[in-house]
Amino acid sequence: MKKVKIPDLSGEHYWQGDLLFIRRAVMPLDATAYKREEGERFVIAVGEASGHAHVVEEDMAEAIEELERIANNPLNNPPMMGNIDSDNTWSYRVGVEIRDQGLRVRSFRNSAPVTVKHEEHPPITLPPGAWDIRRQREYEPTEQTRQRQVED
Amino acid sequence: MFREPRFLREGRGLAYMFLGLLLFGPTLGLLAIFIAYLAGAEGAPSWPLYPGLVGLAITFCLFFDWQQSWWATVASHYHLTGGLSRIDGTKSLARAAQRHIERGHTANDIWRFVAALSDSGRDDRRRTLQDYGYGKFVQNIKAEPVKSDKWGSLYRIELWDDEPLTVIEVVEPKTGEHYFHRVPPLTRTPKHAVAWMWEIWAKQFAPMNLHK
Repeated sequence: MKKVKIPDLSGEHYWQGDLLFIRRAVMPLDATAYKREEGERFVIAVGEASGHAHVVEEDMAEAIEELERIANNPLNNPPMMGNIDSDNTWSYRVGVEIRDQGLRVRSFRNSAPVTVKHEEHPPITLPPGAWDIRRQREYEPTEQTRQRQVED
Repeated sequence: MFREPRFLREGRGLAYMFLGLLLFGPTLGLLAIFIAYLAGAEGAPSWPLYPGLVGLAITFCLFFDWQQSWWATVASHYHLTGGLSRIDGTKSLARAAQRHIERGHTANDIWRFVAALSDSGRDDRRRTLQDYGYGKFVQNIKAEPVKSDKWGSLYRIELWDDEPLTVIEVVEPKTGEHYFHRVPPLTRTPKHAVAWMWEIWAKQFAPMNLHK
């Protein structure tokens, strides 16, 4: 009898390199559906240092029904909601400081498990659900905010 | 340039005792000798003379130790920088710090060296350390983790005249790669450090794909 390993898909947090995927109950209210082009990869974040990207491969991206893409969402433009920078990345305000997480996508929803791949890190499989994406930070006393984003 | 003696670098408890001795040693020593002189004048035995002499000797030893280590530092800096007293940038400072490490000096020696050479202050020193790399620094001085658990290893290195350098070492289980990240200085456990990196409370943090 063949043994089948059943993955535990009840996790709340999934960690890949400098990104953490946090499960959320529902999608944000300002999320928009994004129409994926034929053969387009779903790029979540690109590291400035090495150019390596966190991506969902083409076949898996079929499962992604709805996601929030920053450039396509006019609601992201008001400063209360956050800003789109010139490099098409998302930044938002916490108190007086502005966090630029360098993300292409803030959150997304998938109906089937998807695999996120990266050049340096092993792939991770995300169970169905809605996900927030967060970039890792590091303590840095030379910065005015005393922290900086970790870039792979 | 003030360089404190060796005992002050190694422990705080004894340090203040010796500091007190250094300050009050000469006074007490001279007082004891004066008492001995008065006692001697009346024909009593001269044993009160000895504590006074011991006090003065200890004071002299402490001063000599401080002087010696001060000159040793100056000579070491001169040697390591190839005769330069000032360095043009943080990159060459990092290179000189590397030479310190190759000679087996401790973290505080290296920090002190950087402190002595960068005249613009604390920010310069911090940037030097940042350029050099926290992970490389922790690995090269062979620091011992203050706490290790399944989340990683937490290192805390006391730095003279600055907040301690607290670094979390995370090992990715699949690839076996080591990642070093600096966290706030008062972080106590590896789990708190890892949760801080993601802006999440440590109680909530439970990633599935790691450590399971």
